[in-house]
Amino acid sequence: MNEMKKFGSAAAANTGLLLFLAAVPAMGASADVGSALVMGVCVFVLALLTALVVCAVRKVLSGDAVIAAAVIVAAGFASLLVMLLRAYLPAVYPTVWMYLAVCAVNMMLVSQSEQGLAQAVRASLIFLGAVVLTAVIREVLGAGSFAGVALPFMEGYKLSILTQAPGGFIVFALVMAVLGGAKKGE
Amino acid sequence: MTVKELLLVILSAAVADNLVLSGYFGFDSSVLGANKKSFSLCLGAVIIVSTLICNLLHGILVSMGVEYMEIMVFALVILVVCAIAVKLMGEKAPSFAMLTLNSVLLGVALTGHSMGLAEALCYALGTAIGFWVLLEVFASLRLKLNNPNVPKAFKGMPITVLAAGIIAMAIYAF
Amino acid sequence: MKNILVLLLVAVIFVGAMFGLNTVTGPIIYENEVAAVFAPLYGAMPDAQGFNVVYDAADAASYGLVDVPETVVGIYEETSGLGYALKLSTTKGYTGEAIEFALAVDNGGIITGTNLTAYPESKDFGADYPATYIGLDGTLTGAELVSGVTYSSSAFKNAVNDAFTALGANELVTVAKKSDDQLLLEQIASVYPGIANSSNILQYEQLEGDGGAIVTMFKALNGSGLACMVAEGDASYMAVVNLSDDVMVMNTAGEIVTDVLSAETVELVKAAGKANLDYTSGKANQRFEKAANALAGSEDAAAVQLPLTGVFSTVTDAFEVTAGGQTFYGFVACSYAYNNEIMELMYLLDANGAIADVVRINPIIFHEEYFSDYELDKDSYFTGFNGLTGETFTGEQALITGATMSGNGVKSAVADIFAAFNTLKENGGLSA
Repeated sequence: MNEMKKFGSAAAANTGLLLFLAAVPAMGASADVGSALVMGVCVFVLALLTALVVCAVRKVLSGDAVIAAAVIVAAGFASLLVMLLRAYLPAVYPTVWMYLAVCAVNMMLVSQSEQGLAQAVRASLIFLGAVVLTAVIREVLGAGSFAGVALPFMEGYKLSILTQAPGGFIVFALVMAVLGGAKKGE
Repeated sequence: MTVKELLLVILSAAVADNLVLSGYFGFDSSVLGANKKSFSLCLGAVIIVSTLICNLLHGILVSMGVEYMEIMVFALVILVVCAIAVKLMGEKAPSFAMLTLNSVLLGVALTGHSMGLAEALCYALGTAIGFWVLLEVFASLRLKLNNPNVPKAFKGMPITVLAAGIIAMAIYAF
Repeated sequence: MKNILVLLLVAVIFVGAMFGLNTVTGPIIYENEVAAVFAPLYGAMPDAQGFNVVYDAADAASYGLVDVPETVVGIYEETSGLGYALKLSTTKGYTGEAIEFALAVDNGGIITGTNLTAYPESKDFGADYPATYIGLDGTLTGAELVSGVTYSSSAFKNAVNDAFTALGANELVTVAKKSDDQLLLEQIASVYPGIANSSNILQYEQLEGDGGAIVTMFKALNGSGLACMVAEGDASYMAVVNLSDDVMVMNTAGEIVTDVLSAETVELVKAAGKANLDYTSGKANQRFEKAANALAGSEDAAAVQLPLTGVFSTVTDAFEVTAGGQTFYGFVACSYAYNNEIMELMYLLDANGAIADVVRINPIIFHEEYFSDYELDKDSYFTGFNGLTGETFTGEQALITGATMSGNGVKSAVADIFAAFNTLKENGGLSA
């Protein structure tokens, strides 16, 4: 559908819009640095693979079927990643898996964009940066630790709300403002 | 589950454990699509229908031992339900993209996948109600946020997310 | 058409990939979940090599164990013979949610480790508290409750007790038997509620026995009676004597028994009661007479003390008051309220056992200057009791918002008063 394509291209090009679309998984997985890194890497892999396959498939399909294909591919890769996570990283799995699934749905949109692979890679790298940045802020200031390692100098300065839902929104908003503003300045 | 417990499920899904404000789901399109009146109603109906179908399918998948396929199956179900909804609503339909991309759909389906049917129904109902209320809030919020005093970097999306965070703090107290 | 075929192909490829991956990851996931079940157990028993499930509350019937209390969620046998680990979930603590922990017991029945996994209480009994149980055996002698966090710590202790019940009943480990003395003391409150507060924690002063049949004595702090641990032959009993020299005997099974003590022992117990019980209700009779006069519109009220035969509760005195041709019954009860301090209540009942007047509650609220969060309109609180009978009293009428302990004190005293009225009526102690 044209509308989706337009949206996809717009998202791929515009960092702000991209971050907004990626908001859900970004906020969800950014409670601590470990999950954020895992999430970022997974999304990168997901974007790469989805874009590759969808590009290939798109040549053979027409019209609305492309969307269905994108859904199948994205959800398929997401399921595979979730299974791997569940087996090899069970500590991270419970918090991250739903957001990965949601990411798949959003990923389908990015894969619609005209520019294809390069844009997908760029988009997921921006995502990685944003989510890790959010996680660092949330974990260091909110829980006083970094990737699970407690930081002694943060003791007594913790703002525990940052690790909770409201904190996620607020920190991510700040990150969006910073990254979006930085891009505009380019 | 008793009626009382089911009512509690509805209430907590709508307010205390609102998927948007405590799970971040549905945030993106809820803000973007806040302008259309029909959006929330349509979305609400789609949430309930798709959750029910997904809940049933989960049971089938588990009994076949292929639980891991549920993400793909759910995503396809949601796609189909959204397409049908858009076709049914014809003129007043919100855009297809808005509808499908809404992570609430997958979020509710995945969270409610192991609940009993009645409980899942109530959960979906509660989420739909909570979401609808939230959409109204976001709609009026966007009007206020068009204020020219907002710093340039924050204009548009960031300030909306920040505002949502403050609303989330209110709910967090539960 | 082509579209659908391509889509199907793509879908099938992915399904195949998932299926293939599942054969690799499936077993790993299963192991992870199994490990998650066992993880808390390793916390209690770090040297464990592995565990076998001996009992799982979720599927109790298929394990065929007997006598497993509700608090035991799972029993696991350690594979290299180190003993057993149990998962326990206490009955409601202070907040109403369960405290969950794992307990490790070796084959000799000694506790070797504890691991607290869930603690939702509002007051912490301290991270070290569970560790104080290490080294104790099935009798739990020496297990103390944490002052100020009594609900939670007694819930914990009861759960540990339940663990031993389950282990002992199924002969999984050798469980040390509780001594008779311990059994008697643990069960005394069930037959003599006057010695325990509303959370069932015993309130007594321990006194030396007489060197003869009476081994130890426990004087209830509210003065309502004396519980004497007596040895008769090979058996031990708890003989409770109240303020009217009435004696009740309980055995180690918690049952009330008659004719097991010799007449001399009974006399010894009565003498001990007379010697150690020094409670008086002061001017209670005068207060009751005054209240009865007010109700009957007379001036000739006369109060006669009634013996408390068969009454072993917080009730400490009873009077029959006749005024203006009407008969009333005045009861005095001393219950444990805020901080286990004694609250003395005087209630006047009419001939049918309905509350006619609340003569005195002293004090209702303790330490008023520290404690101001409560809501109490004394007048309406007092009159709110009028007309209540043993049937219509639910306990709610006694509660005071913001002063739970005091409210509970009133509640148990009023319940005891109604029970005393019925007891006396049944055994002919009342003339009406």
